[in-house]
Amino acid sequence: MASGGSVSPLAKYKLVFLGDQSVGKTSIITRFMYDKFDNTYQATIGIDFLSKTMYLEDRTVRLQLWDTAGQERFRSLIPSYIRDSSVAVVVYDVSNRQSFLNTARWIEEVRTERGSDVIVVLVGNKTDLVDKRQVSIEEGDAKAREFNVMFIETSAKAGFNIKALFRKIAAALPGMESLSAARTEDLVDVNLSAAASQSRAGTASSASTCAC
Amino acid sequence: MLPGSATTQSPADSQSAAFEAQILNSSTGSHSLYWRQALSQSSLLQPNGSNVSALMSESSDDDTDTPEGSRGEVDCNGFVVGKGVNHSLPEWHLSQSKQEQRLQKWRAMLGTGNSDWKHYASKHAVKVKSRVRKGIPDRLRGVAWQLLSGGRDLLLQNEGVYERLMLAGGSDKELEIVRDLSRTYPSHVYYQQRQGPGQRSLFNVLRAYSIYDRQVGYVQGMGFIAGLLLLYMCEEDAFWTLTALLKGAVHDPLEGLFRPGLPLLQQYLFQFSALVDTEVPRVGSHLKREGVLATMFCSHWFITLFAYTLPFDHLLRVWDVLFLEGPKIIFRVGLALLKTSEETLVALPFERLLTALNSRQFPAFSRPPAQLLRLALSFRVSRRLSISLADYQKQQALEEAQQAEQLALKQKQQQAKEAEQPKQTGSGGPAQKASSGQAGEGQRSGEQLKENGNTDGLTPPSVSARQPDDSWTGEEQALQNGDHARHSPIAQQQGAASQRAAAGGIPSSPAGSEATDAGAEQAPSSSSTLADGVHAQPTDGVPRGVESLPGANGNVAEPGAFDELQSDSPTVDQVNGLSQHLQGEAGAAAHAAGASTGLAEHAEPAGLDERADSFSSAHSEMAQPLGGADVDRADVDPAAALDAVASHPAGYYSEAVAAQRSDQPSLLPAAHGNKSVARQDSSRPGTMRNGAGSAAVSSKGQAKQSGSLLSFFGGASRKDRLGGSPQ
Repeated sequence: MASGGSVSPLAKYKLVFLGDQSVGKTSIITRFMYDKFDNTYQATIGIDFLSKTMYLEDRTVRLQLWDTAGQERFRSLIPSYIRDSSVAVVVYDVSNRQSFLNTARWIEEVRTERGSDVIVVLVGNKTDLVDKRQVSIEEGDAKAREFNVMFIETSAKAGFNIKALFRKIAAALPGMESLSAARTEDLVDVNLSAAASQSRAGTASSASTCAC
Repeated sequence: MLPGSATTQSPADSQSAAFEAQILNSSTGSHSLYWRQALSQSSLLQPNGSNVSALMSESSDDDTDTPEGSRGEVDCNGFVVGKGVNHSLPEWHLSQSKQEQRLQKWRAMLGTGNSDWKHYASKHAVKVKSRVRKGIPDRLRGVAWQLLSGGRDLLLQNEGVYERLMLAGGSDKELEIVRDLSRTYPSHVYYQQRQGPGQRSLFNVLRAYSIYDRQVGYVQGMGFIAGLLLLYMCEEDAFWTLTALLKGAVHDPLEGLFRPGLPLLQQYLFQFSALVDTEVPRVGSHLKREGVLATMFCSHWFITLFAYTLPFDHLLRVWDVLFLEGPKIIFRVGLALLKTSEETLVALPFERLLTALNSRQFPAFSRPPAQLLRLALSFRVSRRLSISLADYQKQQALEEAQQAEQLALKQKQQQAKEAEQPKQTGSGGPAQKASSGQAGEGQRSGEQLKENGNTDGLTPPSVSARQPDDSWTGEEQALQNGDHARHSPIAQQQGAASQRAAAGGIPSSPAGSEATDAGAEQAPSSSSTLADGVHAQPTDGVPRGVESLPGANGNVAEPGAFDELQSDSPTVDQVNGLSQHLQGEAGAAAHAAGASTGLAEHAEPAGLDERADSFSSAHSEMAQPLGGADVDRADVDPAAALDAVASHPAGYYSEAVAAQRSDQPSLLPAAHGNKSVARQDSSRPGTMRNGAGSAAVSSKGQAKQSGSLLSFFGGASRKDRLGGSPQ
């Protein structure tokens, strides 16, 4: 492999995937990356890293995805990844109520690290498990409103809403057009605050809202 | 030994006979591999009181149940490979005749089992080392691993214990274990079948361990270790071999990799980064330049001892060495992986660098395992490891001191607040909010501190500074008793601090032993360069593992060993003293701190005793006074149980926890930081008996019950010692 490096000055964004053990973080990422689903995933141990370029209508962004181990014991490894990320994707399993309840702690953790300077998306995964559903879409939506974060339901297995999830995230990312270096901590918050300034990307942000 | 037979009670002599048979029958063809036998059997016991089937189906995504072979063909190691994929034996597999030749040698060496082997190993340490490095014959691997690890000794000295653990009810980790079953070696035929023999054995072993050591419980990654063992041995043997590894029967204990806060992992990552800087400096500086930290790519190397990463053939060879020579082989192999990819790695920018490091595509993987091992063994790491350990401990102590200072300050403020609102302790509300806010600040300051004190970009600053984040994790809470612990940042931070110190100092990696090793390697005759892994070794360099075998864990349990350990840990005492001092200052908070997982007050003794405990339970030589500790604790336990309830899902979980609360008070102390030897000891037999259905006891009755069980336990063990004694 030769050293390529990104030639174009792509805007880079870090996304960290959080959520309980076995809710489907890796599956969502794999579906997004390779558009496939495999039943033979190994459990994620520690941290995994993937990256992908996303071509949007008006721009192109580079997403750096941090996949984390879901078990509580590993949470001590994670905060530095949250701190560096402009987006936190908090995943729960719609067939596992506890994983839904625990999202509150994940979101709080993100807020503790980043305040409002971060995009948070609540994702209810495994909608294909219709018979086993324990968390309704309304509950998910309500929680998202309560925490003032974006919300979507997905099925990595069925390939449902995965693209939508990432489009939604991309839409909320700070736009390329406004390259002011100012941080936006003082933004008047609307539905969600989307703001990220990143050392690597060197971009800063404008507010963007999303009707969830 | 047939699968499943481990779970039926067998007298020591029939155990030995079976073990002997394993060695003697080792040449009867490929079916002597354990998992092949096991797959053809299906009568495995289920642990009492846990409905595995229900659990499994609950957490299943229905169609993960793949019948054997339906996806493709199976390679020589039992892994399913895609249809049409070339799965012929790699060229590094030995010819049949060569294999047979080695098998003969090994069979002679192992004799009829434990005592023969120990005799041989003590006399021919050099030969043993060289043969192990060449690779243990696959058919004797299971047996050899048990002997080398000390697992076999533990088994003999703890007859019936595994069975009782199986019968014990109420592991609150069951659901977590089950969730990972189908995600552990998912492409191996032994583990593919949902609820098949492989998954059931894996469940049983992990569950038993989570009861055996409640502080560790179950942590993702353990499954890969247990899973690999189970391909080579039955459940009970795998359990004790796992225990031997984690408790450190022969080498440094590895349980710190899994204890709350992952203290040993953090230490290892720190040490590994330091090694990379000196041994593969180009990669080291490139990683720094690109901002790649060790946590980003190699936690799983250590957490699973490479079982997660390496191709199977390579992995087996590494583990052969691991069992004989200890965990430093993990560092060496890690260095070798980086070294073989050096040219590629130093040319890659951040993203591709990380992708490459996280991939399973290291160039070394397509080359013969012997080559990887040879390179790995060419790194001389012992001395560097002990240096970096000292550095790590210094850094930790410094940070903790500074953190503690800040916390003391905060504590005073908090105290003032609490004085205004005396009734708010414990029940969340404002107190909780205040403390969580403070925890956040504490973290940030810790982090700053790290950043300031740490010019080394490769060290894992974030990791260690972040421990207090566990403040809100239910799992850790479940281990804590007392309401304060959960909400008091002081408690958490101090707890974490002393835990870390414990990790740095004692249980994880005794500086003493490292130094011994280092000495051996430094010696002029130091032969660990071992160009081909065959050279003669100086006797004093070799026998670390072997030497201790005659007494294996016996050695560890010797009081002397503990003295040595204690004296090796100035940092720990220092930190401990500090936290005690702070507690004194903090007044009201002292109680809270004491109740936290880390047990600021008792953390260090806990660290030490924990090790002592595990072995005393193995040996039961320390069946001693059940002091007041038990009784004290008994009062507090229900709180921990409540915490556990709070942190677990409804349904199944609450059931399990309720069971714990009502009739298994004695299960809980094990989670408490292990203040006294007697206490944890007592908790285990207590566990078993409760589970076996004898009368439930009240919390208050715990001490008494434990006492009687202890003597029972001790008796059994003495018998075992006679039976299992080498001479």
